[in-house]
Amino acid sequence: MVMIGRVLLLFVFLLPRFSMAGVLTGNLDRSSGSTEEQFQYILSIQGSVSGQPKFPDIPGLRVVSTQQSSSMSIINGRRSSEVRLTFILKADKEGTYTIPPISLMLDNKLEKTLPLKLTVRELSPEERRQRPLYAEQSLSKTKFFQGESVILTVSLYSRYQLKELPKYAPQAPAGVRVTPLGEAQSRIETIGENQFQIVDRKFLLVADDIGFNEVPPSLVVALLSTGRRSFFSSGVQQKTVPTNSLSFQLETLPAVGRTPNFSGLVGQFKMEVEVPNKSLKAGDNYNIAVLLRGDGESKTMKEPQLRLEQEGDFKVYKDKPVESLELSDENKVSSETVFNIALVPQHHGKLDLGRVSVEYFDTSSRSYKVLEKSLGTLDVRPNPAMAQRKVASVASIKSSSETLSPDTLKEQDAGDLHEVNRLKGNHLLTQWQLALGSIMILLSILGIPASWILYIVRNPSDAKRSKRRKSKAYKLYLQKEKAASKNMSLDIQKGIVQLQDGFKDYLGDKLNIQGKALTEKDISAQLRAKELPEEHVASMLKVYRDMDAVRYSGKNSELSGGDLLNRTRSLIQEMEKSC
Amino acid sequence: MLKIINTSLLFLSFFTTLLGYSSTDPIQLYKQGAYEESAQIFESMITPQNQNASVLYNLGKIYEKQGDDVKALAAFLKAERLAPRSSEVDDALEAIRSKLKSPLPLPRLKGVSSIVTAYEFISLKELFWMAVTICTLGSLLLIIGIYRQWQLLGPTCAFIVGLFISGLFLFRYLEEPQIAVVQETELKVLASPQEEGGVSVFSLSKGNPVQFLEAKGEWSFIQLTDRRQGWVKSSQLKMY
Repeated sequence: MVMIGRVLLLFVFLLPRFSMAGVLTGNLDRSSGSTEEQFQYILSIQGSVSGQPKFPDIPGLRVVSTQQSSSMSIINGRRSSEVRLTFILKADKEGTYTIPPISLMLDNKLEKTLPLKLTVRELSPEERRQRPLYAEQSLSKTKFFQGESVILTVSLYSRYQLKELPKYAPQAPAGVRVTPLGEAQSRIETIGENQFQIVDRKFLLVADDIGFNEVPPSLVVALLSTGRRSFFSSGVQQKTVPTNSLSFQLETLPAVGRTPNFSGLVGQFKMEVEVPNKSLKAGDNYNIAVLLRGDGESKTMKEPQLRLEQEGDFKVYKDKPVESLELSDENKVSSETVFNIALVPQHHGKLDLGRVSVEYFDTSSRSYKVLEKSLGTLDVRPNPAMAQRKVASVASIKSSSETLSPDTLKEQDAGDLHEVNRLKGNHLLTQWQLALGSIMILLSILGIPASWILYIVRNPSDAKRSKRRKSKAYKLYLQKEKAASKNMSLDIQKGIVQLQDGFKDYLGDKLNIQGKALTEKDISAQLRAKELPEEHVASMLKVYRDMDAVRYSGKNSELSGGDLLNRTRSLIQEMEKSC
Repeated sequence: MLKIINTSLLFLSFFTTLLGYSSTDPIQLYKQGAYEESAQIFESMITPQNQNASVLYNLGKIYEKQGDDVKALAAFLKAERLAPRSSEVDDALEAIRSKLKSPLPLPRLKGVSSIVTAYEFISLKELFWMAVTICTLGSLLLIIGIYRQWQLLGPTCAFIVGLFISGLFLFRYLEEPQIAVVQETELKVLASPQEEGGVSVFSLSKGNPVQFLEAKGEWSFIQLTDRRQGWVKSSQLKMY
């Protein structure tokens, strides 16, 4: 369906220019409603649009789904098209939402919709209870302390037949923890004149952070029976029902009376200690269990304080605490946390185990209380194997039993201030550094192809070099011939040497051989390879021999320099024509 | 003569100011307990364009002494980003966060993007100069190699690595969250930047770290780590 819509939209984009001028309008199906209703925002686009329209992000207002339709009409030969995007909206909370203008480029012109206001209110309990399917949530307490455990009950009321137990999604704000407690419980109750199936689900709610005073509406997904089951449908219809929101008053824990040993527990608690009555040897394990029972959860609590009389007497090993939570009948939570501690006596004798204590905040007396138990003494027999070993350092025992508290950390850190440049290279990346670095990277990127091109230009390939030499050969010969002609009138031998060198260079360039190394044999072979006429080759060789004759016999030669010069030039001109 | 002396003194004062020195040592002032004056001098060394982890650390320490934990947290957060390997800054940040009892997680790069861009290990500036250095060196070696007809595999690899790090820098530059700290005891975050009839979408408490996204007039658009967004007045946040 979406695909067909997109194809249609594309078709509209490709409409010719003579379609009507672009029009963009945005409308809401209604300007007010409740949090349980959905709203429709219809965006109507007439004309060629560039870009995909998008509904603006408005915190608290969700786009549930988007539908798209398009239509086209031809009136008096003019074609007009319209694309309608329907955004289905849902508000999470009551209040007035402003939908800002949506901008789109229509026919190369920026068009905007008008801003719209949407007022959303929450349904009153009476209005909600008029419905055949509704959900509600409640708290066991509306005024409670930071860290205190409270029960959040989310209930679904349905006059329809429920196919399965509903699914619950409580919306906990950051700083508030919500944990499920037990299974959902179903019951039948008559409210007014109507009978409802009610399904309750309980959650444990703990607010760790002050500043939050509201539980947003939870969502309950009801799975209703449609009564029609077929090959294509499962006969189950899903309906998401939001609950009411809840406000609560969160009290901060008082600072007065709190010691650094405060465990973080809030509620009413009792402590028991299980100490086995047994005699043991030095080096054997002695396990004790500290049980904390109360009406609050202990997930974030600090471990109980174990204060040994003599720290060097024992090595201490602490196990991970085990917590179990249960829901009591009075809509209260009862928790039990077990801390298992293993003590290993380091020497024999009658050793005092010391005390274990937990400081918690008591919500009934609104004060901090300390639970403390004495662990008694322990008779430790000598262990011959242990006696052989050296006594382990006290420091290792200390490190195994202590953790660094934030306050200790703070104390360690309260040293002197830093010198301004103590932390090396610690300045912010400035704009000019960014610009300089970017230029360097850009130059690096551009420098490589630039230098490559420069290299190719400066170092042409052998083929190109030979081509260039060939094209310049005649010009060079004429220059050398001119110089030879000048010298010939003064000294014929010198002139002929220059002429022959010019001739050799010309042939070398043309035949791609170094001129100075050219012999008579080379000349004849290369010229024949170029498929020059045999007479031409013979004339070339004749001129070459005559030049040699003048060069070595000097003035005695019967040959004239001018004649040789003319013959050479005419031969070269012929060669220029043929090669 | 007087003119020359005046000009020299003026130049000298300008020069010392440029170097970050002032006639009074803020560290000495801090040791003497004059926190207010010390903080003022350190604040004058900080501008949005010119920031220094040591100065921010010192500011955080002074604010902590003065009991302004929100400003201290904001200063330590910025210092930690500029000097991510400093254990002193980390410890100070940890201590102030536990003091403020703020359970909200810090907006940070996470997962693969954090590992690949070495978010927890090197600062943005270090990453940038690493990219510039490797890119430039690789390019220079390539250029020389072309003329000298060297084997170009090594320089090419160096250049590609430099380009890759440049890409990582760009990603981190665009994606690194700017952290602000809530100054109000209870701050209502609104759906739109308007006070009248504004819908409060959620609340925040003092010391909560949030990600600053954009500013519009006197309003700031913020986001929490759970992706919830909203508008607050910029004056209700502290950010370096």
